[in-house]
Amino acid sequence: MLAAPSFGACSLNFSTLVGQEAMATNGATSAAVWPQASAAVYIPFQVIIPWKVNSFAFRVNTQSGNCDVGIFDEGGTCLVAKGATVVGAAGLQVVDLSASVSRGTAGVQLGVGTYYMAMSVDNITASVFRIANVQVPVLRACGLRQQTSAYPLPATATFATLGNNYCPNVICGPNPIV
Amino acid sequence: MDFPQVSALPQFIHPFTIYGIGEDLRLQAGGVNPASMTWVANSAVYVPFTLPWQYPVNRVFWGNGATAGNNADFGIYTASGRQIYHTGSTVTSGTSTLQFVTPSTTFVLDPGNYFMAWACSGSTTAAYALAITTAGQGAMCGAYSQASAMALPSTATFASLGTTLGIPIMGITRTPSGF
Repeated sequence: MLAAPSFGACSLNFSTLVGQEAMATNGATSAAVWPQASAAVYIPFQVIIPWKVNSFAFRVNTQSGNCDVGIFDEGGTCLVAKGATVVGAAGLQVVDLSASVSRGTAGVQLGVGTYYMAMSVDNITASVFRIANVQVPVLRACGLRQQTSAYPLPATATFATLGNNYCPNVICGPNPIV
Repeated sequence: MDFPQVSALPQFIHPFTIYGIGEDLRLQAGGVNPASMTWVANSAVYVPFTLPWQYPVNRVFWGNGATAGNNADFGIYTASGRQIYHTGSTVTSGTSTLQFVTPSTTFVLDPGNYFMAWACSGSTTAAYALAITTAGQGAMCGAYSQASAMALPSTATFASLGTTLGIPIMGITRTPSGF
């Protein structure tokens, strides 16, 4: 029960409440366009055993525009963000957070605690895979938050109540994602 | 006791987590998501959960269905059915959304086994819950129901959770605001 993965966090594993919920309801992923241009979504996860954030990844369905990804602490401070990144071609897109980051510390060490994976996209044509069929009230109860006008990701998040039924399938961790 | 804002404690504890009956639901009713659903007026549902650590209850919450304006009551019970806390009858406000209540005195639950409970006076689309569609699914998750339990009683009388109720999105949170 206590074992959150120590090799990283994923919106579809036990390190996140939304991952636990998706597991409970036999959740699946499907592609959908980003819900709001320049909006960010913040997905909380727990760290039980400290690890470093070197990689971040998501799955692209439709390439368009730019995105930003990063990690925030529970109080909303950006610990690391990549900065403007072209949304890649369809398939797995890996973002290196071990070097050349626009905010925070490359390869930042996460101690025991609660953090947010964050992602924003500057348009509503890009399509990435997200958790399907989970509605807003449930996502809120899993701690997701959002922010408008958050591309690129800000130095300090201004958390707002989630309004979009959209939880991207994202993963981050200390090891290369290939 | 003061608790730090930055903690490895989950922000929320609800039935669809590993601290609730998430794993049970995966096997018993997997493939169904919580949604607005019709309730049996004045009925309560009791859902077990386990805390491996002390947990500060700064707010409690539940999801309202597509119809608001009913009365609801959220409570916490010991494993044997003794009431520890309940909000008391509370008018539901907002549709298809979460409703939070801050206890008049926040408190800390010790590690252990508990039930969270929710009752509602309304029926048509009054709840936001995962429907139990097959007899026995609720029992296999350790959940119970009770008729005529609005407001929630001081001692639960556990009865079978049939197919007319469901598992509400409800729970406790250490967060004092937001979400």
